Amino acid sequence: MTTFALSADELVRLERHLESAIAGGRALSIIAHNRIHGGASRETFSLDVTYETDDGAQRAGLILRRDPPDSLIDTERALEFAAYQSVQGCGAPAPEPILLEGSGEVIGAPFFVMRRIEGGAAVSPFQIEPYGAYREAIGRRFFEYLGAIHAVDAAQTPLAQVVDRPDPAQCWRRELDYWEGVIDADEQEPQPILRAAIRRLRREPPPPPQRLTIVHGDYRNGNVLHDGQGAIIAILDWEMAHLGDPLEDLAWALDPLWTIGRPDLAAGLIAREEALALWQARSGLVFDEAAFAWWSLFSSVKGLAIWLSSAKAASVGKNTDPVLAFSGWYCAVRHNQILADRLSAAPYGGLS
Amino acid sequence: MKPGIADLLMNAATTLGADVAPHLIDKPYALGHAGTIGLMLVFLAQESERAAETLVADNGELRALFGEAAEDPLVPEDLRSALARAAQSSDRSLHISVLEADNAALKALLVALHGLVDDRIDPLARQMQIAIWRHLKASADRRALHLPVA
Repeated sequence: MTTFALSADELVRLERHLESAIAGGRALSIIAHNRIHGGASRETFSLDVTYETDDGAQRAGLILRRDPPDSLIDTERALEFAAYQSVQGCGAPAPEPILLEGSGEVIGAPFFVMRRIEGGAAVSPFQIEPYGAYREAIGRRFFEYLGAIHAVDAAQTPLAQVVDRPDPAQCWRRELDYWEGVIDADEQEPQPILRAAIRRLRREPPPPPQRLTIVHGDYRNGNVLHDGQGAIIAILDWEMAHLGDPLEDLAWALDPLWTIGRPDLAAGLIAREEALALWQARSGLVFDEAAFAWWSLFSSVKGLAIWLSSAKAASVGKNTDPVLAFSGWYCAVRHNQILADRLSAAPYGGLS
Repeated sequence: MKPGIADLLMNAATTLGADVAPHLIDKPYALGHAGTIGLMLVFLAQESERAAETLVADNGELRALFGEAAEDPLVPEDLRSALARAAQSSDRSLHISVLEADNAALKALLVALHGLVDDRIDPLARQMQIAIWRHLKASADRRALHLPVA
């Protein structure tokens, strides 16, 4: 059964908890709350609150992310919270994290709260030309901001305190091992295309990253809010953030799955050459086509791993959110096609 | 059956989009659900028409491929036996669940065979590699789902 609202008891406890987290806040009241879509990995609620300070009556919009009974992605909320903290002020916009609660005593499960970004909209990656006349402007910001994230000194961030710091030479292996483990656990039928891709990745590993960076982990055009006038005002969904090879993010952003309507453009937004130039200029990194090819193939493997987990959750009825069934079906079909197109071509697969 | 399955599903998708979703504007989470379910109804309409044909085609191609591979002396004997048995098998029913179960068993054999072929560079393996990818690409393309133009 889907939870559409917090209970009255939960709201009362939450009000007292939020009050203590907002500096100088008193008499905090949640005047409205709505379940919203905010990634399938956590239950996301939009809250409108009022409270008193020495400066008078205040009003704020907040986003609460609560651990769900089942999830697309098995991550800790502390990690996502630290990721939001880590990119504040880096030049790429992200919501301000406010409160992290690790127990289930307040609303039944751990959660965190961040400030709501007002006036922004996310678009479906499956919509044709969702940005209209602002497509190019959005595209330039999209790749500049990715470069800004990769320019952060990752070792000095809160994220580095809650995730492991991999041996740079083993970044690829750590990611591939993890996602192959997910596939082993969640596949409901044999996956010949996916298994061939994994064998190929293990045969031809990439070089170590030029620099170990923050990796968003799900940086794609559907995970940003835009203002309808050409500006990106927030980058969301940091639950898969980690330290690793920045090409992992770049390859995921450029995965063909996200280019419906404009497969000729990077992320369906701008020319690939311009996207790479903007990312290089902002990150200070040099694009390596051969290394990128490995991470690009890996992106489709990682995607399929996520979709297989979605499909399993939907199949066994652990989570009835239709987005799980949708991604477990449509996205898996697309990624199988993408992998088959790439791997069947000469010289590896021998088809012309 | 009239109206047909695909027609019924498309009608349901249209009703959901035109008559239900507009009443959910102030319920963004429910509205998102309605949109996703509507899209899946469109895909189900596509799948209902072709699901049996997709699986029958897949299974037939795999059996033909296994018949050739079973003759390859470089394939280990136990796998060759399994491939030969699979090549001689046939679809037990046109029920989707039965076709899917048979397809899963055949795909498990393909994964085992392909792993061995990947480790070889001889001409026979090269031919098999091409045949396997011809099947895998056709299989993936047969399952393509077509998004309605937004």
